[in-house]
Amino acid sequence: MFVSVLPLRAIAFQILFLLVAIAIEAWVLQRRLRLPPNQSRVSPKQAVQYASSVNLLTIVVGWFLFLSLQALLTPELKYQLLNFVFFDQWSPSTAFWVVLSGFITFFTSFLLKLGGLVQLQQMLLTPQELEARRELDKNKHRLGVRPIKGIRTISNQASVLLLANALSYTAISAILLLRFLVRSFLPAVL
Amino acid sequence: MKEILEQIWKQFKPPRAFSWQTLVLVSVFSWCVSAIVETEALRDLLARLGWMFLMLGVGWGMSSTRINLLGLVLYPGPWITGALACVVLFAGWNVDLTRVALVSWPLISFAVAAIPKLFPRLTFSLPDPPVRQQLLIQFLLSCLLSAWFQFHFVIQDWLRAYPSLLGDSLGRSAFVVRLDERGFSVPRGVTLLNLAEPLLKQELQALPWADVERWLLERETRVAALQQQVLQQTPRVEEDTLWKFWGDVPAGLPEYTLKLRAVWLGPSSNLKGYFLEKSCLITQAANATVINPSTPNNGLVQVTCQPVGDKIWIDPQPLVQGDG
Repeated sequence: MFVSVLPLRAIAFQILFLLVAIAIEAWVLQRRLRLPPNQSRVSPKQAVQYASSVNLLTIVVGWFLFLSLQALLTPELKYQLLNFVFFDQWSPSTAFWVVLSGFITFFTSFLLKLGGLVQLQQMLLTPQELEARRELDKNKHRLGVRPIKGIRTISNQASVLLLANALSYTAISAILLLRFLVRSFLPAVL
Repeated sequence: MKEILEQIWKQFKPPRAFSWQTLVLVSVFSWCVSAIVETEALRDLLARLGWMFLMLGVGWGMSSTRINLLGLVLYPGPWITGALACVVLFAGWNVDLTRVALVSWPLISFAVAAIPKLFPRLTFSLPDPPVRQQLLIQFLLSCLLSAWFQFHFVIQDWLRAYPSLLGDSLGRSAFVVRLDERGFSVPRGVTLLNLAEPLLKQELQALPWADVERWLLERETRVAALQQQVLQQTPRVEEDTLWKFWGDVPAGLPEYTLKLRAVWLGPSSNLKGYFLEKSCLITQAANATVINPSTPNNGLVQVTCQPVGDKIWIDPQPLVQGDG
């Protein structure tokens, strides 16, 4: 009965945003990211793989949160959500929440991407590298050296990812703004 | 005739005893048996086994099939095997598991693709880092596909709870498309107003004329009570709380024209919403004169109603009283 209403536009937008984000973030990662242990750069292929992994991770986590939280909405919030999903409208009161949740999404996704990237590097170590890293850690402990280098790599990765995230969010916001402008001034086009 | 049969046999003969063609033949065989078997449970089991052998056979047969699509190499095998696995797991139960089947299809297909890499010799071994990276991306992509399926079903649930949304244009939406833009369904308000008509007639025609006039004066509470009666006559839908009945007796129209309105307070393509209207002409029957207003005089009041009109969009001004 309702099969004729499909979320195809959401899927199309998601694919577009995902490709934009991966392209931009891979470019930033490839230029700026330094990998331990010897501050090597990442290859373009590696950068695309890293960017795809962390972006897909945030999207999947986001969908999981949305799909599980939407069932808990109060009726009032649910009308607002339906209004937004089906008719692309929001009232001034929801605009505030949209902006706030945009900020929260930005920082949450940044933290998620950072955690994801660190875990990903850990996951992709070969057995030899894993062994070498363990040795290194053990030696450091014995010599009483604080793991400064570890902190430095994390902070390098964090600042690179923050930049990448900011750039990709800017691009996506620009696309959304463009759509809004086209919508407002050329209603016949779409 | 014999030659043709031999030709067919040559075409279908498994090259080895243990090959994917054998499994497909076994599945055909178990379907044939299940068609003959009388016992319900056994027939079901054999049909399911048939699907399972087909799944294993096709999965094996297509394991090296690849499609080259503009330089993008795709392996359709796991998807088809995953779909068949969903049939084995979810079809033919007493409850409808289509939803579960579609949502888990990408994940099952991922499992089909990943198992040969994680268990190459039937024992677990950690694959090389490049394969790990590839598996991770594949896993996240199949999660994303499964989330899209789930989102589709969430939208179906919303439309089931708010069927009037389908009576509106979804053209502006950034999320959904409507494939049959022509086939607008009527908002539920039309149904509610049509249900209200016989109730209204029944109620007013039992009243003496003076009480009818009082009813019209007190229409705000009376119409609200009418709405409650209507809602008791129909299975409840979540959106019912968003319809508000409203009665209006505009001046200037023949006395008394009750405009019974169903105002939609929920989401709509126009921020202010819309209302539906049924106008009912309430008259005294011509041959009667009111001699004694206190005695019940059945049949003296006549109520004639028009069919519900089109949606009336509410302009930026709030709903005005007496727009005649």
